[in-house]
Amino acid sequence: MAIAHMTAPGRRALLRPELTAVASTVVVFVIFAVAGGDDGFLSALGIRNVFQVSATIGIVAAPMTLLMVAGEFDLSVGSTVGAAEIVFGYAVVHGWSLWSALLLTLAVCAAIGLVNGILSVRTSIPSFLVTLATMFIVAGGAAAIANGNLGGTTIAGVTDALDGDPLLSLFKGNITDWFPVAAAWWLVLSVLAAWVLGGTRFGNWISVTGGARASAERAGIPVARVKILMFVLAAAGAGLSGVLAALGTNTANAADGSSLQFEVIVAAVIGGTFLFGGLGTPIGTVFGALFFGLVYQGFYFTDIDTNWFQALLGILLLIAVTSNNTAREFTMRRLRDDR
Amino acid sequence: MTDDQAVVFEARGVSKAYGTVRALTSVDLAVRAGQITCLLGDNGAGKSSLIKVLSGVTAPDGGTLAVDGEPVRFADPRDALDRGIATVFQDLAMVPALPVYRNFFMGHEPVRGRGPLARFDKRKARAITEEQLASIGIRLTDPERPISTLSGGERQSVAVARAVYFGARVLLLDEPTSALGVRQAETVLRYAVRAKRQGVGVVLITHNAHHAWAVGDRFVVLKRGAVAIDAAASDITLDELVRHMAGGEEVTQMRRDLREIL
Repeated sequence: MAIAHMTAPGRRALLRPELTAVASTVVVFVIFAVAGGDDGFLSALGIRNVFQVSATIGIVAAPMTLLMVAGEFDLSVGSTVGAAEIVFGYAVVHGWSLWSALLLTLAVCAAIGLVNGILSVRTSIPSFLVTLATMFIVAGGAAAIANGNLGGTTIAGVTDALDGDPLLSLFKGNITDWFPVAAAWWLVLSVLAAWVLGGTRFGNWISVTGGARASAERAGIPVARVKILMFVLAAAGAGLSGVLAALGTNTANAADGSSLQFEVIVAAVIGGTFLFGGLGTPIGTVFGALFFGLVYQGFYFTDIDTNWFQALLGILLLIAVTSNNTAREFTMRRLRDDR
Repeated sequence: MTDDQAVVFEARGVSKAYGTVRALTSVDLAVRAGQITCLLGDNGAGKSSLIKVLSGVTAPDGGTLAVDGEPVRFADPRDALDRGIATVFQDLAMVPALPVYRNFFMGHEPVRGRGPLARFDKRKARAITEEQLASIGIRLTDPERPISTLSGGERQSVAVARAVYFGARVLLLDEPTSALGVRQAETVLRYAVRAKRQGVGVVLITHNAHHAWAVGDRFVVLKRGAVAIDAAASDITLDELVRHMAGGEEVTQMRRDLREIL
């Protein structure tokens, strides 16, 4: 068909895994802009909230994409967000400065990632199960420790405790009235992840590790270290997302992020990342996260009964993921026929 | 054919058992530079056990391997590779969704800059890949094209080209033509001959006597884990080779049995 006559750049665009994610995101945007545009969806605050929700997901989804390309999963990132909020909140209300509390939080999260990584790589248990177990351990541990020390699973006044901290404006508030600072972190980290994956030698190691483990080992790539590092980065992403969430709401909550792992993984899949490793794009994941932000926010500006929200989300996900697979299979088949 | 080329890689009296099953019994095999040595045998004759030993996947129970006459012990395939013994496994070790050049250079990426975040010099990688593939008659219209869009024969050829480019002195080809049609098998065999002309010692593992006959300089037939035939191309005919591979008297007996049933 037409693909045979297209120029190389044209074919390449069709092969981009993020293509359908961009299309899905645009479609969702148009739907909600029409349905809820007059009610505030298109206002500065409406757009700001879309970005805020997208950033919470996207900051974890960027390193998760790399982890998935390396052929692994992490279901514990959601509970790690809650744990990070408690660690960070506890530190700052006890007088720690922002940067020291942030470093502590990232170190704790990195340790969780390290445990996930070592358990997944050194045992033959799939990371799906390892991180399902750590998901419960981290969630339960964070809630119990918080409750034991603080008499509750939330810590109030987190941002207030940092009043006057010179770094606070880097982690809280807006850059302009429609663009929150969290969204800047999200985009910068995503571009960084995309650069590492596509532009560095290490990025090629990540892809080969997830796509053909045996040959990566034969080629001398340190497969175990690559995977463990990706687990650490995913957990650290959860840590930063938790810190930003706690500062945004002035409250640390151990229950925050409790279903984030699904949104993060689905954002990556919508963006064109393979579930089984070897292929993925952090830029596609940006659109996957934006897709979630648009649906979450857009829904509240429509007249639909909010009870329908989860059902609608499920339907939209199925459509997005199916069109993703169909587009890829179609293009690959055409390319093969060309030869 | 000439037997005067240097023996670069050698198995001497190699034995291997899995539990009580003797997979290999005192097997000798000499790989000469610039020759194609065909390793033939029926299923279960010990071909895969021998390739695992030669490529460093498993260690032999008895006997030795020698590179340039010097005894060696491979810890793993990477170790063998460092000695110039490269294996193209049947699974080809490719990532289907990645472009050809990313597969070609896996683990050997050319870089600009230093450290773990050294930039992957993609321009150089693409140029070398295109050049190497052009030399075996594969023209890539788009360098970003995933390797899964190449045909089976082309992917095999890419795997061989990669091994030779990265300095293989001995190339172990594990059943490279088994899943291919005639035309594609020809592509792969042609490239094995090209590698041989560049001075590489090639071991072609196959159960197809016709493919072996077309390109082989020397034929080694394994039977029940031991060497049954080891002959230069000039000392044997295709008929003899086929008969030995198929098991000679056993086939005659099988024909007789089948005739009685039918």
